[in-house]
Amino acid sequence: MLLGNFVMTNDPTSDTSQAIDPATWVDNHGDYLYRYAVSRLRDPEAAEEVVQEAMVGALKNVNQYSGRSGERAWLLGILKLKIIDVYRQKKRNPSNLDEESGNLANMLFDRNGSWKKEVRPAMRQSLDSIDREEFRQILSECLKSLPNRQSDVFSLRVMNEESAENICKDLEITSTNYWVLLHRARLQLSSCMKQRWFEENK
Amino acid sequence: MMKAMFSCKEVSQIVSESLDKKLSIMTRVKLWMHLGMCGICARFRKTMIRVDREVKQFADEVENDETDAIGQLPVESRNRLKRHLTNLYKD
Repeated sequence: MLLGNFVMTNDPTSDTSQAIDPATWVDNHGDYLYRYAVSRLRDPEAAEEVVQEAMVGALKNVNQYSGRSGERAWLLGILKLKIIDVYRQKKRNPSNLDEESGNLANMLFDRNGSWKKEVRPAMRQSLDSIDREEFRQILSECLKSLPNRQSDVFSLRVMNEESAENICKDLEITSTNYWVLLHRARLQLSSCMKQRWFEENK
Repeated sequence: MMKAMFSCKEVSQIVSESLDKKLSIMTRVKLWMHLGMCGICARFRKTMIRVDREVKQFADEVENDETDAIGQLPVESRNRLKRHLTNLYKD
């Protein structure tokens, strides 16, 4: 049996202080882990899947878990590793780097690198006065439009504040690709914010 | 625009870089010269900075369990997962 290794060390009848009930993980931490996964993957189905994988993975390694107070942190740690696995999956990033919104810069800038005339009215918008709630609402729409690979690099960098070195290692990308992806993500997000705001307030 | 200056396209890239690492003095001087003259880039920079800040803030709220904006694990999935884990544990 694949899971046989933990049964011996964690027989719930043998030591009551070590007794666990994995179903309570779902009640106590399921929503929390799910929200974390959605925020990082932007895909509810993939999030459900990865939460399940994390909890199954936790159960398999339950003998490494020490102490009730850290249960959530422990599960979150496992979830984070599983999310990296999802980032690495080929099916999440079917297109190659050059195809991913490589045209965005060409849509925004002319041959001299100046803002194109047709985008200037939107790009000129100041978003300073938008309150947080509205800003976030537009932002969540714009985040959905990011290609996965850009989104993943951006999440690791900005949400998790991971180092460039770790991100390159985790996602198996070169340093050059990392900077390109991160910049494209930011360019896309900010131009999307301005475009949407401009169109809503025409 | 003058050759000694960055283009708007270059500026967007440099602003992005400035969010991750310290720029050289020369780059900063050229950046601020451009931003002083180009209102679109100056505003674009502010938006880029705010996007990063808001995303980070939201990520912190999620991690600290201070938001329910994303919703909950769907009931079906929750029940399936409970059964699955309980069965695995019994085995």
